Amino acid sequence: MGETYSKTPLLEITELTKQFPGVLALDHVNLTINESEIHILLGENGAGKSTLIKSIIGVVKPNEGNLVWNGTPVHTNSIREAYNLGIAVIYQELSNIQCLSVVENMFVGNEIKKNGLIEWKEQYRQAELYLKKVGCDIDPKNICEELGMGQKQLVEIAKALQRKAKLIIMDEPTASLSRKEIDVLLKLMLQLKKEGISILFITHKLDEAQKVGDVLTVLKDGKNVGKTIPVEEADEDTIIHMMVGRSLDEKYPKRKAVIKAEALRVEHLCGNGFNDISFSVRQGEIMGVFGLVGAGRTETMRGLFGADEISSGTVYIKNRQVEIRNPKEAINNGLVLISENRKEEGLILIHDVVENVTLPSLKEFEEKIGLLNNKTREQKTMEYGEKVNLRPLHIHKNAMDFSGGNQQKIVIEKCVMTDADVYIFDEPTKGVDVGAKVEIYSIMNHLAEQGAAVIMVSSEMQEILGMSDNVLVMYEGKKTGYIEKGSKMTHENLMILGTGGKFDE
Amino acid sequence: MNNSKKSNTFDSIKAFLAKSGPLVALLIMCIFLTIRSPSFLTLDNLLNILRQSSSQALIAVSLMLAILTGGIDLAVGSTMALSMVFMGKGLEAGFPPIVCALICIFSGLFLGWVNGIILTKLKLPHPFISTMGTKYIFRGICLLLTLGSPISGMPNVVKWAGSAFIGIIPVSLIIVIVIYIIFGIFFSKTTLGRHIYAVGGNKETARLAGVNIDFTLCAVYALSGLMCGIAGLILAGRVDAVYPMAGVDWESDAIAAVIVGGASFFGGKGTISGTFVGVMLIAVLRNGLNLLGITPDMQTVVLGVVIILSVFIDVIRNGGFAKIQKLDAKAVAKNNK
Repeated sequence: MGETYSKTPLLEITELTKQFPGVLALDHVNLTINESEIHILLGENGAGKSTLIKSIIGVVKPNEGNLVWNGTPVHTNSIREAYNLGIAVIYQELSNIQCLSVVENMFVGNEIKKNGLIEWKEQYRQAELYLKKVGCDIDPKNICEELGMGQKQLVEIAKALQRKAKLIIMDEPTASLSRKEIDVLLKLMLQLKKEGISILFITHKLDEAQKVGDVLTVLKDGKNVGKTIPVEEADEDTIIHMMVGRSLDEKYPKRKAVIKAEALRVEHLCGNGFNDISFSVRQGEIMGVFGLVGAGRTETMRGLFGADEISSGTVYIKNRQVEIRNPKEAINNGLVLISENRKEEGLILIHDVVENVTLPSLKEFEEKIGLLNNKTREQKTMEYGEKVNLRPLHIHKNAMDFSGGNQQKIVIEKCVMTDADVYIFDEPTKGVDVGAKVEIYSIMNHLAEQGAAVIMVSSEMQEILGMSDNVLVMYEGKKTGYIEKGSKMTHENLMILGTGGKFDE
Repeated sequence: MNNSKKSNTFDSIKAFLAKSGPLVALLIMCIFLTIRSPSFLTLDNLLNILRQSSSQALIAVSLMLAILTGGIDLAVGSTMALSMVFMGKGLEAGFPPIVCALICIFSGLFLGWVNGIILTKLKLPHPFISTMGTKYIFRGICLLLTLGSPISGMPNVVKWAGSAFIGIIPVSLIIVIVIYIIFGIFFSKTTLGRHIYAVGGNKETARLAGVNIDFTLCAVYALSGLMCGIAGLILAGRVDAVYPMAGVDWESDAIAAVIVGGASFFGGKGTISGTFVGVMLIAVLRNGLNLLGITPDMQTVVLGVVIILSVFIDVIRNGGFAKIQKLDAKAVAKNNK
């Protein structure tokens, strides 16, 4: 290989083991991050990536194993100690304090003080300096709430730089960013690397890994899979095989659905964030809805579902005009929405699977004098849990104790149990590992095969192309095109329509 | 064989302790009081405790309803007092006793429903505000209507509910037990009951799952008011009067009972049996302190300490339990190797 980046180890992790009650989360894991290196860490949900990060920054105490930082053995006991060493973490769900300003967020817990009072001028000066370094052109006085996801991420990186981090750990930083924001972030990562900073980059997106990564390590069931290998030596199939332990013949499983009569027709739907949206979906069809973040796709679907108010428009389900003013009416009319924010909108984290899954269909379990039959509720939850392949199939476990992919299956199980005619999946595979993704696609296929109409909102072009019969494309709240299956359905055309352009029909 | 059976029993005892800490605290307190005061463990005294805490037990249900949804009902004391005053006014006007008793119960329901309407229709951010407002409004109306003086001389039907006995069992205790059983069934086996937990667990998830949030909240505060009405009826029967300052500060005791009983202050978690234990813990504590000759001023201090301690013990016990589990897991892992 022609590349000659330095091979001085910055952080060496040897034989790290962490035992949780009943689970061996890390099993003698080894990982070496060199100076100026972008190290990709891959693994399915529950493979032990989070525990590894937490062990590095001292949030979790490992049972065995050593950390060597710059040649000296260290024990981190808190995030603060990790920061002092030069390790910063940027989480997928950002930890900004929403109601504080950018500068306050950057210095909270690490204020610059003189005689016990905060030196605001100096803080502003440094905030501006480091924001410029990460290419973020915002006033540090802005309130964090008002920033986009991409900007918030940049603020976190600026904060890490201000604290002189040598190693930045990024936990799925691109999960909720738009294409454009992702490009900015990836470019910044390469620039940071040049300046001598190492990055441990955790992602589910293999194309990103290949774009910026130097080396990659795969974890599965808390163990290393093979050795750390240079990124250029790993093609997609090899990586998937390493992560899942088997090769996935089909990332997008085939379906044998027959497209029949129209199930849903939407005419001139208008509301906050979308304007004049019309489309129709048939039984057995999967319609993709593509667009960049902020294109108004989620808003449209929420309006259709009655979660937000619409200002005008008509909706027909099975050729019957229906009025949907709230989610209850939507569900009663056979329309369900699997929301993109499963933790905030899809699940009651402190309740068990039975409570979560049967919530929309409670009425069906009522017996004489309106009392619920809790036995049947449990049985049905088991039955449908098997159908969506929920793992572990413990129906009395709280939703918060499941991995991301399985939490998503709980939300899906809940909607499937209502026996709807139209299913709207909003970013169904966001933050879900490769194996669970295929399972979710299979569930969608199965629903279509059973005669349901499926709408799949997604920002992942591969997924749209792999799964959809037809695609509706949106840009800035408007419908910019509708592509039917065939030669017109290409990357380029999706991108043209998704950025507001037109192609010759 | 024998060994595994033994460890199973041990496990189930551990699980029981982890779940019913307040019950254990209650038992310990009872044992302590039995040793220190010969008059504690007598049938008379025990029935007395139950009879005297009947109204408080119902007010605790009010607070449990509100707290399950992640809310609070600060107006319970005032709602109870105003229901009582309405009944008193009815008696003065010469309405039949049974009608007056019903006025008391349904005034509670109505006033609670008003709380719910104010909360949901005005879209106030938290019931802390709506019920704090009505707490003052209802109390003020009580004083305006009665000019501050009690109305005494309750009819027999009211006295029966508050102070009669069937055999040796106080009627008020029977009312409380029946209501607690009804709520046990209501919470676990009705759609509305489960919706209350769902709203407290995650309001947005519940809404998107088709739960009518406003209806559920109105029902919660109306039921809360209904309990206040029944509590008012029992209290009026016990003291043979209605008085405008009834139930001042009762919300604090009731909140304490619910939280000590294991409900989550953030909503979505809690059991009716836990609430019952919480009510009993506070009632036994007050009774015991009296028997031990501790002054009311000092009692208040002790009560405050017990509330903080019992929840703190809960926190420690949960932490400690998790530690035991971890150690067990370690041992298992070692054995496997």
